[in-house]
Amino acid sequence: MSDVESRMLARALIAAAVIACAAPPATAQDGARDGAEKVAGYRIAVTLDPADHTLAGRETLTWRNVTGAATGELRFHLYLNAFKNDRTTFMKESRGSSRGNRLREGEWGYIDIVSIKLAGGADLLAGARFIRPDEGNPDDETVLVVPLPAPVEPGGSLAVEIEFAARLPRVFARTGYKNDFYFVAQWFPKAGVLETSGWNCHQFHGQSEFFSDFGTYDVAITVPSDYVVGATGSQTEATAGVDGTTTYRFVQDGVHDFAWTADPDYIKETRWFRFEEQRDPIEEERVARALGLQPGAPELTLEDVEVTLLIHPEHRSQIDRHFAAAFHAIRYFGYWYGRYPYRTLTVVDPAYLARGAGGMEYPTLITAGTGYFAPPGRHSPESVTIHEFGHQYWYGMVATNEFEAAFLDEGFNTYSTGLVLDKAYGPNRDALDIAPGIPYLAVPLMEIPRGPEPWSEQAPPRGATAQLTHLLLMRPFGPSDDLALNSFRDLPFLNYVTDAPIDEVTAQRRRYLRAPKADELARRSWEYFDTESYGLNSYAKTALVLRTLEGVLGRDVMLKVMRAWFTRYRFKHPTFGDFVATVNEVSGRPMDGFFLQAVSGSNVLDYAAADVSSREPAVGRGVFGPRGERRVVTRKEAERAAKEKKEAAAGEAGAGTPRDNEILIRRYGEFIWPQWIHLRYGDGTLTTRAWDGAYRWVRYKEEGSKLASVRVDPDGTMALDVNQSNNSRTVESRPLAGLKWWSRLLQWTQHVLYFYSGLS
Amino acid sequence: MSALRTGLRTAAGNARLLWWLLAANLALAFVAASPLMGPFEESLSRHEAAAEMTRRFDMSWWVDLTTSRAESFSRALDAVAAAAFLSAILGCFFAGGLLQAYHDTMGELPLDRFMTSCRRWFGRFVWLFALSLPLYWLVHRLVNTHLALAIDDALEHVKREEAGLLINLGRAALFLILFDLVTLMADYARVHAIVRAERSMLTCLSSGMRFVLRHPLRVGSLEAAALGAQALALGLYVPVDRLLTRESATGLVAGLIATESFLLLRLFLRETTRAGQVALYRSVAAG
Repeated sequence: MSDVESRMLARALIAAAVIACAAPPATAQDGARDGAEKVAGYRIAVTLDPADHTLAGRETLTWRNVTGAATGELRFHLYLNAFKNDRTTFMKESRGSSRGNRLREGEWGYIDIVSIKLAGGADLLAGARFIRPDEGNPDDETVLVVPLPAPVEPGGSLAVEIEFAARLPRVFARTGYKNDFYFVAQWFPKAGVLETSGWNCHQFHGQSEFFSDFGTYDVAITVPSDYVVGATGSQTEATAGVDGTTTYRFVQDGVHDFAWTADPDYIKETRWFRFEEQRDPIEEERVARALGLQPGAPELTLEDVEVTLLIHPEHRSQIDRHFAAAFHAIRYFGYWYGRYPYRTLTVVDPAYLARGAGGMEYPTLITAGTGYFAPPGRHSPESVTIHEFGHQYWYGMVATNEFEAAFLDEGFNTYSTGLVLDKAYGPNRDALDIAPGIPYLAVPLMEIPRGPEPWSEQAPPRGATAQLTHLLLMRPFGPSDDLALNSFRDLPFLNYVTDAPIDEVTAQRRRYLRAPKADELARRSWEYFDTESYGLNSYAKTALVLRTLEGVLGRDVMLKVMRAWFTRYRFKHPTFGDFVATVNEVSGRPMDGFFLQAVSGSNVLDYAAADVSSREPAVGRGVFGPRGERRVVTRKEAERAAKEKKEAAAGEAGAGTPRDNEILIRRYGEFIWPQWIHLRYGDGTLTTRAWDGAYRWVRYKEEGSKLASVRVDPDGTMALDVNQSNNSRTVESRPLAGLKWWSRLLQWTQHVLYFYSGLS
Repeated sequence: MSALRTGLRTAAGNARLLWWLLAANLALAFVAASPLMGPFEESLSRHEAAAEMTRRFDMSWWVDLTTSRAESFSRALDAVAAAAFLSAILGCFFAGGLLQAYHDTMGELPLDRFMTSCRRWFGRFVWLFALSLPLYWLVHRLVNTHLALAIDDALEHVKREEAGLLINLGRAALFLILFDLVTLMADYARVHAIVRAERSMLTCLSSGMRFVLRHPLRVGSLEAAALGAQALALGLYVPVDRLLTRESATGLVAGLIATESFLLLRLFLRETTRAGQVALYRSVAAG
């Protein structure tokens, strides 16, 4: 250990002693977290040395065996070792880049256990060894097994004291530094989860997040005094040291992780979410009605929350937007699922080029995501702030296993985030009005082309800025058709669609449709086909599954389901099976068949109104009648008879010409689900038919009023439908719309060719 | 400004040639885009919300269309790329006639002489185009790869986003400038070929480079005026287009006419610039 490390450790020891002497403060909301089982409690004292981006820490883990079997070992996550070299499982899987950042030469991160022993007892370090339970990579050191001298019996507990020294990586995947900015997450030796089946302690993967037990965290953080600090929980003390440092103490119970941040450049702003000022009476009444409560019922009364924003100066103008988004999230998640039980929420704006730390969730602390330009209609920073807050519910409190079932938090949260965005903001609008009547999307020909991220083959250029370069310059040099097509699809027609607002369902469908059959939805996070498949299944498809479920069950029943899911399983580790059981019970409908197809399979849902016609009834031609009364009807006679029939029908007041209507509905996908079909008639009437959707097609024939159109899934409930544009079909053809948008494509092509002809 | 005025007069004198350029552009674009007419028509003509979707763009529909017809769109993108290449080759063909017109007569050039000049210079100008392609590629590699990586490293020490954005904007601007510089060198190489009747395209390219580098202010101001005029044209077109593209068939036709007029205007402005380049080159050579 170097002198510097020794000094840092000494500071950490002093801070640890301070913590040991002080009891955790009680908060007004303690009662709300009573359900949280105290399995793994941490007292940590840590010192940051910004000179070489190192941490020195001392940790006391108090751990309880809540399973029915004894265990002879402890398992720890040493997440920082994922950044130790390019042979770790994380680095191999991520290929060195993640979340918009990459790790550079010399910026490795790691953690060393200096000592580990039972409190006041035996040393455990000698027997400790690294294991690789997921894929046997000998270079991976992210899981440490520590044999115990004696087993911990069911219900038994122990305390372990650990000294550790760590070096943070340049922020790359959630944790690390960028200049003076520190976001310190996955930074301490952290116990895995002991389950009935054994230890659940996976290696750190390129696409995996986390899973751990609830407990109380009491953490003292020592940093240079000019740093502004934020962390999980409530700050209870700030003690200035004699050497230009300050020690901040944060305490929080009922959580399963702890992250902190420090940066001298932060602007720190605190505002209170005061329920009485933030009420939405209309939504409160709707929720109360759906849940069978009285408006103003205690169940719908939310707690006040102290919201702290740590934001960088260049984003100062977005302070109000961050707070507004956080308040919307606290309000609607609280109304819908249950109140936010913690006293604090800290929102962190990562430093420039530290995107790797953005968009992350830790208990009571989230990182946002924004940029210098944030057009008012664009859901940024709002969507990230709301999404990460949502993780306080899905993952934070309903603590599902992110390693093994990422969709249970990411997808559920994407669904909930979408509902909040719909409710509070409406469709996302990327266009920036650079002048009245001239949105941003209208002028990409004036935009500056740029190439792809030069270090990443995986990062094709996206969006308006890149369109021209991507299609015209990059295409010959490599990007695949898919990438070109995706880019083309993301922003159609380049400069001739001036505005293209995107609602949340469309946004998720756009993502899902990139590869709807690549994987089954429910897989362990590192076992998806690729990064894109992980993302579109864990986030987009799951959100669409829940939107579809909402369409099937109805909005109010879905609200009850999600509320039951939260209230029953907060501070627990439920599985997908628990969710299915909750749905079945609360809705009173067996939905196993739905989940079997939507979650356990990769079948796609696509029902289409394939054909519709409404013709005047034909009058038969040919030979009619039995022998002796035989009658021959010629074409002329048939036409004359049809004409007379039509005139007779027209003469009857209020009656239209009876028609032969024929409708063909087809199932193109393998996902089978009953469908409603609307038949709209020319006279404005509407009839509804139900189809079990099982066979490949169904054909309806009827005689009646002139049919105008037919529509499958008339309420648009099937968000999973991979082609909603074929859901309706009119009898009459209207070519104008198709011609209009095709002509736009033609015009776009003309300007592309104009550009090229100018090169010669 | 003198060169631009001369260019404007000359281009106006040969305005009928613009119709050829527009026709060629439209024909190529039609060939590339026509395979998608079917999918558009099938997708929307019997859609229940077709009338509504004539008025506004529906992103949900667009996502469905491009996904369900992914192969058609992918083929269409290939067709656009092929048409773009043909367009460049056609540009080589027309360049000879147009430049000859601007150089010889400073008035309207008879069609047969125009076509003769087109044919005469076609092969050489294709060769010149081929010579310019490595320069474009070089600019792309230098700026979008090597410089981008260097900047990426440098940005590690930048704390403020505004500064980083300016640096990145600077790189993008540099890319545009260098890209345009290569285009200008090739432009003046062609002018040199016509004015000097030079047969070696390597010599022409070298002369074009020298001319641009020796007279950066004159060349740059003409180019800046041309870009300004193009921006002005776009600024005029966008609001007009928004007014015209309504639900009716009349609105559709009016929108099409407006768009073709806009493209015609852009072609005219480009030819004005090209004629201005001839005038500038001749005045410098004379003076």
